Parts: sequence; structure tokens; C-alpha cells
Amino acid sequence: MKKLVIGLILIGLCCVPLAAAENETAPKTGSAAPGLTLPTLDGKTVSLQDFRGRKKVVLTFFASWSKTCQDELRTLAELRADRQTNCEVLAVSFDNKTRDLKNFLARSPLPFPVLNDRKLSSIDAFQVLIIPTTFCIGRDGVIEQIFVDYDDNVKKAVAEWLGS
Amino acid sequence: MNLKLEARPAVETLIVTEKEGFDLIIIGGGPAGLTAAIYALRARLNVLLIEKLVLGGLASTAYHIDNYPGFPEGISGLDLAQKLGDQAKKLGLRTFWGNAIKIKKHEVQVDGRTFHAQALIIATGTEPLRLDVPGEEAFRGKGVSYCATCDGPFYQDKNIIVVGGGNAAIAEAIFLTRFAKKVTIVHRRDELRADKLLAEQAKNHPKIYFFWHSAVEKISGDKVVDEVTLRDLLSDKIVKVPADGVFIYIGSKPNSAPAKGTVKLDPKGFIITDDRMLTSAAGVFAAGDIRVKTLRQVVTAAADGATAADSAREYLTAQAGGV
Amino acid sequence: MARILVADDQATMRQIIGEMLREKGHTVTVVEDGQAAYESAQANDFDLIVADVNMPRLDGLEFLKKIKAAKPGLKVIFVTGMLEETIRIGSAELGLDGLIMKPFEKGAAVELIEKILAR
Repeated sequence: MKKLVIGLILIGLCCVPLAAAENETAPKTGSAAPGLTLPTLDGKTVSLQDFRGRKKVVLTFFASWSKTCQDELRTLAELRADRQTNCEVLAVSFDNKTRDLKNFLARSPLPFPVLNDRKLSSIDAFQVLIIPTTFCIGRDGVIEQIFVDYDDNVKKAVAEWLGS
Repeated sequence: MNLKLEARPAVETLIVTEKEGFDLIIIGGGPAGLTAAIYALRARLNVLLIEKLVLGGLASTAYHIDNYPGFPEGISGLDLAQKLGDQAKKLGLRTFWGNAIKIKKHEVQVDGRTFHAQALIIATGTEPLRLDVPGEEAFRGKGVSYCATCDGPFYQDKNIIVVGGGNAAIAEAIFLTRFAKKVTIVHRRDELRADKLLAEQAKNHPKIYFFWHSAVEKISGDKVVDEVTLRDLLSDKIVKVPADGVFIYIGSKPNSAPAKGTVKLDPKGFIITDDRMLTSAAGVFAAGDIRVKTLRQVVTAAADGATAADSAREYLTAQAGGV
Repeated sequence: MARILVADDQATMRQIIGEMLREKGHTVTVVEDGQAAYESAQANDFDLIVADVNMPRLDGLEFLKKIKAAKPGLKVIFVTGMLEETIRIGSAELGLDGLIMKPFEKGAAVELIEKILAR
């Protein structure tokens, strides 16, 4: 029992500094977006860093079963179709089964890269707590807006940001 | 020790994705499962053990084990279970506590969760066979028991009936004489199936009586058991015997329902395997009492566990393209 | 409409979970660490606790044991970002009522919470 108590105290001590560190490196508006490199379903590799200096990027994290995510993706598809050159949308899926993602894309094809993050490797870097979480990243690679969850306000804000 | 599994509502879970699949999931934490875990962990496999009650399984309820090799003084079931558990934990065993309700080729459903693995070892063991007589269910915990180590102490100076004629029945009957005023063994045949050594001990014991070629018809009482109705199988005569407790040791049935449809079972429900512990499904192995086998003992369960883990390791290596 | 205690050391989570439950008409109290969670749960009459398992001064297992012993009718949902944790704390044997892993969808989480409240 004593060993357990000592162990718990040690873990407790470790937890506090870590939490503080996490908040410092947490992506926020004004900071550079963390790196991201993931495969698409066709096996191509896409990196967020490749768009720096070239295009604005809307980066969204989703799961194909989520209705909220589906709504957002539909909106992003419309917005993307309207603007051919100055921006890109990157959608990162946390679907565990590639089959589910494939089926979803077969039903609702999307005009932008859909990346497969089965191992949830991007969660820590981007501090994704809720799906969908959407980052609006400027051409210089700096995060300009972060939206947690999705509703009409987010829809308006993203459309505005893309238009500007 | 409480062996009853209380029904608990499943944990409602919302898990976006199971980030990790395991190399191997072992279902059942008795001697077979724990030995498999030890071998698998030493082979540095990514292992999860699923156990519904207690590490050690049925073996942990045995008062004294005299025939497990390496213990000239014998060892209590509880101690042996403890040692097995400690050995596995020392190697880094992770255990998920829950009842596996469905076992499919690469996944196990437990309490609202689904765990995935490349290989499985089913080591779910058995549970005591019921007599299936009136009063048995109703008086469970109120005079009817399947575990002498657990419940014996409640019968200080009382009249106990033990049903069965094999090693378990006789050993537990002898154990119960520590508490009971009188222990009566009720057996369908005219002689015991138990080892001669045990049989002699029982027959020579002053507190132990026998009802040969008899079967239990009914267990009755008011708030607790007070009487057992027996039928003489030769004469068909009915005899009512006063009793405070009935301990049933007539055999066991396999806990294979969750695996039904995934692996082939024999007519009694035990899992069919080859001598490498492989079932009818590739990557699914079985170990211990749950298997079709001739001798169900702690030592054979441990042997099965080791073999199953080794077979699983081989299977995983082959899957990964290695040799 | 239930009385819910939300415990999380991350401000974002406190805000999101608190808001989504208040939108549904529940009364929500919010705390920042494990000790505060335990004290608040003891001192008040909540129907449900939604707690991040990885908070400072909270050991999930100890918390669950203590709370269930002190307030058997109080339901507990753990939120965690670590899959490894869910093996250690995520079983019915411990009396846990619900488990939410981050990242989660708000709608699905609310559904799960209401399902547990209705049990």
C-alpha cells in the first residue's frame, strides 16, 4: 500500500508540470501551425507545410460517423468549389476503419484531400479535444482562427475568412 | 470469497477510435490464461488480459492443491493464484476487468467496449454444473453452494449434503468436516470415481456418511434450506433427509457461449483444438478447462497456456511476414 | 434536469462541457482539480460527475472507489485522452457508468450523458 501511495504522489508531481507545458505548446491563434504529414486513401502523402507561402488552408479534424462533421464537410466542399486557386481544405479523419471512411467518401465525394489518421497521431500536436475542430491557417503558416465544434456561426466565419 | 458475478450495467462508452490493436488478447485469467500471459509477455507481445472476476479463476477457490508439481507440502489455491498473478504482473500484464460477451475472430466485446487483436487465446474455463432440481436456484446462497472453500465456514456444527462422487466432491466433503457436524455424500453410483486415496479417507472418516445409488429430487426449506429429497435409484424409494447445506460437485460446463459461431465446439460445448491449441479459426487458440481434453487440472491448464502463447507468437510472426 | 459536477483542468474543456450541458437545461458546477472535485461531490447532492481522469490531484481509481462508497447513487463518467487509461479505469467492475474518450463529438457525448442520467 505504501508503494502505491508513493507512486501516486510521484505521478501527481509529474502531472502538474506536464499540464503546464501542454498549455504552452498548445496551438493558438497567432502561433505557427504544427507540422502534419498524413496519407490519403489513394496512398499519396500530403503535408500541411507544403502549402506555406502558397495558399490559405482550412484544416479540419473529423470522423465520418459524426453528423456535425458531415455538415461541416458539405459546407467546406461548397466553399472550396467556389474558390479554385487561393485556398485549400485539408480534412483529417480519425476513423479507425478505413472501410468506413471509404464508404463515406463514396457517398459524399469531397473536392479536397482527405487524410487518414487512424493512429490519432495529430491529436496531441493540434490539441484536438472535440470533433470537428477547424483551423484557419494563413498563407504564412500562422493559425488565424480556431473553431471547436460547428454551427452556423462557424460556417459564416469560415466563409468570411476564405473570402478575405 | 464472493464468487458471484453481480450483473452490472455496461459502461457506456464513446471512443472515437481504438488507437491500438493488440497482438494478443487472452480471455480468462485462470492458470491457463495467466501462463499464456507470462509466455506472451516474455516474447514481448502486446498483450491484454480480460478477466471477469479474479485472477486465478477456479483454481483460486481450491482449499488445498496437493498434486501441482513442485509443492511437496501442497499449496492453497489462493496462494497459487496469487503467485501466478504476481508473475504476470511483474512482466507488465495489463488486465481489463469485465465479462467478454462475444468473441469473434479478431475482436472481443466486453462491457460496451470492443477490443481488437491479431490473435486470441480463449481460456474462459468452466463453471459448475447444476443439478437442475427444484429449489436449487431459489436457495442459492441460502443453503445451496458450489464452493466449499467459500461457504464451508457458514456451516459450523450443521448437517451438510455433498452431491457427487469424483475427486472434487470427495475432497471438498473431507474439507467440510472441519466445520460440519455431519457430512453426507450422495452419489448416483455404488462406488466413487475419486482417487482411491481420497475415497479411503472419506470412507474411514467418522463424520462422513454415504447415500449410494441416490439422486437429489428436490431441495426445500423455508427461508434457508432445511431438507433434501432423495430418490434411491435402485428401489425408487423416496427419502427425505434433513440438511442445512447442499454442496454440489457433479462436474462442470464450459464457458464457451461467447465463442459460439467463431470456433468449433464439441457436443458438450468444449472447444476443439489440435495439439498446438489451435481452434478451427486461424489465429484463435484455446487453453485450459475450456478445451476438449481428458485431464482438467491446474498443471494441464498451465501447459496449455504456454503452448497456446507459443503458437500465437508463431502465428503473429508468420502474419508479419517473418520466419 | 440534473445537477452535474464537471471537473477538468483544461479551461476549454470546462467551457465546452459546461455549456453543452447547460444548453440541455442541466445545472452545472465546474471545478478545476481532483481534490476540489472530491470535496464538492461530498458536500453537495449531484446526480452525475463528469471528470477528466488525467487531472492533477485525482487518481481515477481512487476517486471512483471513494465516491461510490460515499455516494452510491452518484453516477460517474470519466473523460480521458489516453487509450491506455481506458483499460485501467474503463470497466464496469469498478462501478464506472460511462467513459468518453477525447476527441469526442459534442452531440454524441451529450447523448451518452443523458442516457446514463436516465438509467
